[in-house]
Amino acid sequence: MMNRVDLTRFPTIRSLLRSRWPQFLIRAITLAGFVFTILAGLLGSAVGSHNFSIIFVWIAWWTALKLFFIPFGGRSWCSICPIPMPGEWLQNGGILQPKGKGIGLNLRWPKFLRGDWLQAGGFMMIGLFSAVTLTSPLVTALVLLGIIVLSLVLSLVFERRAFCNYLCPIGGFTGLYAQAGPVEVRVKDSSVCAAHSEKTCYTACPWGQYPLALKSSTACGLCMECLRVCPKDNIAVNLRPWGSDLGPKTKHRLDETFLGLVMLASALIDSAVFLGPWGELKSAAYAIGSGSWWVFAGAFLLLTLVILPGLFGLAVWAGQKLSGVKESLGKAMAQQGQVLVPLGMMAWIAFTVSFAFTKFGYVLPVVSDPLGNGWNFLGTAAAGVGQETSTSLFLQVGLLALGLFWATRVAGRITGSKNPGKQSAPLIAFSALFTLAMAWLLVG
Amino acid sequence: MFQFSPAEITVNAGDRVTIELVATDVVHGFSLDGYDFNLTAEPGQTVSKTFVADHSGSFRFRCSVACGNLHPFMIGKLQVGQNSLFLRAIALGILAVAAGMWTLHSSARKASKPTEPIGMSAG
Amino acid sequence: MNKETLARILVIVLVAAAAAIPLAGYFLTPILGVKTIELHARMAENGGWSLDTIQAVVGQPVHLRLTSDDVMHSFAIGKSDQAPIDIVPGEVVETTLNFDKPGTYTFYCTHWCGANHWRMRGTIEVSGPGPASTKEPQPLFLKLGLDVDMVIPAEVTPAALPSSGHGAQFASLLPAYATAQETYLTSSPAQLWQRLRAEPGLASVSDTDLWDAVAFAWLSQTSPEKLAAAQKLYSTNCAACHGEAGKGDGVMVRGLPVIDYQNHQAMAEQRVRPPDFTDPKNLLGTSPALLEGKMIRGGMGTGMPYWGPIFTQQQLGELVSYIYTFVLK
Repeated sequence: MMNRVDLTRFPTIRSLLRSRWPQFLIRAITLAGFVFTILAGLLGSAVGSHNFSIIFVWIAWWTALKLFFIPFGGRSWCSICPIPMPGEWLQNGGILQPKGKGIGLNLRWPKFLRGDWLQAGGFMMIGLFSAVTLTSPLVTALVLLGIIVLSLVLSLVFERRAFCNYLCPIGGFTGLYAQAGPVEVRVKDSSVCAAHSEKTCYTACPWGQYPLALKSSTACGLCMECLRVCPKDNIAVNLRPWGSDLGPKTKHRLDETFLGLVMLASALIDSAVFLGPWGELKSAAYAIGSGSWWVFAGAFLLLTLVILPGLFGLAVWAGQKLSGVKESLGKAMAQQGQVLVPLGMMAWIAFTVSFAFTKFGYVLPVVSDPLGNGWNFLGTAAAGVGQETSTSLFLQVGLLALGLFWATRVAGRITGSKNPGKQSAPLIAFSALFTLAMAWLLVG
Repeated sequence: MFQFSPAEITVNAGDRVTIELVATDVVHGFSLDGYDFNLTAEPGQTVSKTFVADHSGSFRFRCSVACGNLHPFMIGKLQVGQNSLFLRAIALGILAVAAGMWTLHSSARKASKPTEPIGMSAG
Repeated sequence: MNKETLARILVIVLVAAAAAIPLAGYFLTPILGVKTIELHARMAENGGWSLDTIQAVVGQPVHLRLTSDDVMHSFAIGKSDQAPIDIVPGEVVETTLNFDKPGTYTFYCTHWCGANHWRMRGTIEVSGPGPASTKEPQPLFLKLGLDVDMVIPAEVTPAALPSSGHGAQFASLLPAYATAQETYLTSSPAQLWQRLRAEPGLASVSDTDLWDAVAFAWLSQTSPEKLAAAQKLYSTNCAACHGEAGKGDGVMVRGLPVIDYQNHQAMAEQRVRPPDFTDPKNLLGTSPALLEGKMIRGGMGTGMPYWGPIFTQQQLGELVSYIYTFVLK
């Protein structure tokens, strides 16, 4: 293909990917970091700004995820994420590579629980409780601990990376946005696969994917196992243009659209709660269980489950009416949910910029004194309050505009009708409305 | 309470603005984005400081003294004159939609243009 | 060694190292160092000080590691020269205390940290040889048997706030007792005015001018330096409730209704604002001894803290004089 660069063509990269050691070492470090973060949250200062767990999870790692891992690597965080590791090591009977004598029931994940629904729900839950989670080291630590224990338990019951595939709230949107990401794993020559009956790659894939038939990057965690076990060296890791999995011919499901909408709603709500001047909203979001919190939760769910999906559905329906296309609304919504991918991804990057740049000054101090204990490993001074510079504000506006531009293009391309302008106009209007709301919340 | 009251302030560009910070529950601070302006107040001790609002736009002000869990999100907004950035953002958005549609349209046209016939003679 | 074993060792080493650091920090730090006591400052609503009592021995230094779990606090010791130490949330500050006399000391916070800020107190029990700190004399309100809960509105009041500067011109006319400390301590300004009104030597002085003379007599008990020192104490400890101008409208009490002396029922049922010190009816009927008693013992069915363990006799005296300046200029 003309617009793909196969990284495995470069011998150094190829040997780095084929060898198990580099990835293993990185994973061992992220696992150690994960353990450190949990303990810092449990044992360190209750003041979030001086605790490693808050600063590193919600500022450092989150920024790295949104600004680098996803836009430049698709689902690349998943390739070094420590959460599935203990479970996978038990499943595989070995740490460095599968030994075949693992422990676990290896059950198939129930059909009715498949798809992005649980992950969308999980992300919604995080949003509902985010005011407390993001400010309490203890709660953050317990959430991380709970996640890794859950992943471990699921690995002992179900086959492969059940948590990553169906439950991880991060995995949900990372996978969704990976459709727009510039990295993919694909076979080099499908005729080679046709002649190969054993399908080693499928057996080795912890994500349960068929590498030989991989069409979308959503569920591929870039773990490189298929690359390592393919006897014909037929797996490529391609750099590709952004947005390659989005188009009129690619298949998409309604649960992807739902996840895309949840991400948009969360971007709006989080911007309002965390960046807005409305103190009562923040206090309501924080006082979990109180009357005002129930009102907040109600408004949150209304926006996420009713208003935004309703507006989106209306836009799709209006497009059909305007262009005369006859297609089931559900199918059209599933297909046109692709627009939400670049729209949401850029909105989340912009939102991350709005708080990450101001809070980044906390990173060095917290490395120097992770528990808020009075240590001073690096001798870095206490953090100032930080502020949004005009650079940061311009960047946010630019990112939102880029998202709208991109969403417009995707909307025009995917409708596949004779009248792309008419059919996509309401959808573009929806995207513009969302972008306007985000812009007002961030820089208004 | 993690709230500034009023949380949104509007002034004209060039105004001399005096902020009187009254802390009503614990020690709070006031730090203004885009300006070198910082105040700290204890309950029972109002502090006051003046600055000239010579940059226009929308600026967030934040609490600068750790005042509890939601301290990092204790935010208010100061509007000085026109929020030209927001207006420009709207213009940029319109441009983005137009550019999106135009680039699609032109690439569609390129795809459907017939290729030139190739003249060939034999003999 | 095969690769798998090496991999396992690496994981164990890295995870163990990562776990060791926070665990060491949590368990070892308090143990290291000479008698280090870790003290967490929290708002009263969140538990207050993590320790109610600290034990100490005369001559042995007490090393404290102080941190705050929520908002700005400070560590100060009542009736001592020790300057308050700021405790910033999430940061640790260390200090060493030395006691040369046995006794009970009160430690408290000097940065308002909520409505219950004044409840953030603990005690340091210092045992050991040596005489106890010099006992302070019994407060006057106890000696005189005054009922601290009493509210005595002034029997007579001036039309406007009296001016001591104006009253200075009558200084030579005043009898000796007017500027005597004993009179000052045991009489209210209104009582002094009534005694002076009955003096034949002052018959020519107008009522208003007599009030100015009372103001002069009252303020002759203090000095600008003492008033300045007291003003600092007032703004740190009292202004949050009593108001920066003494009007009883401080930030902490803005949600409460104003005192209505006619409506005793309402006053008994709920908290009310402190009295307005700038209203002549309120302070002018109260003697310094009674005022000092209210400050020492607090309570009175209101949210007034008790300052007995915190302020020295001298500080109390200076504060009392300062408070009268809200109504006697």
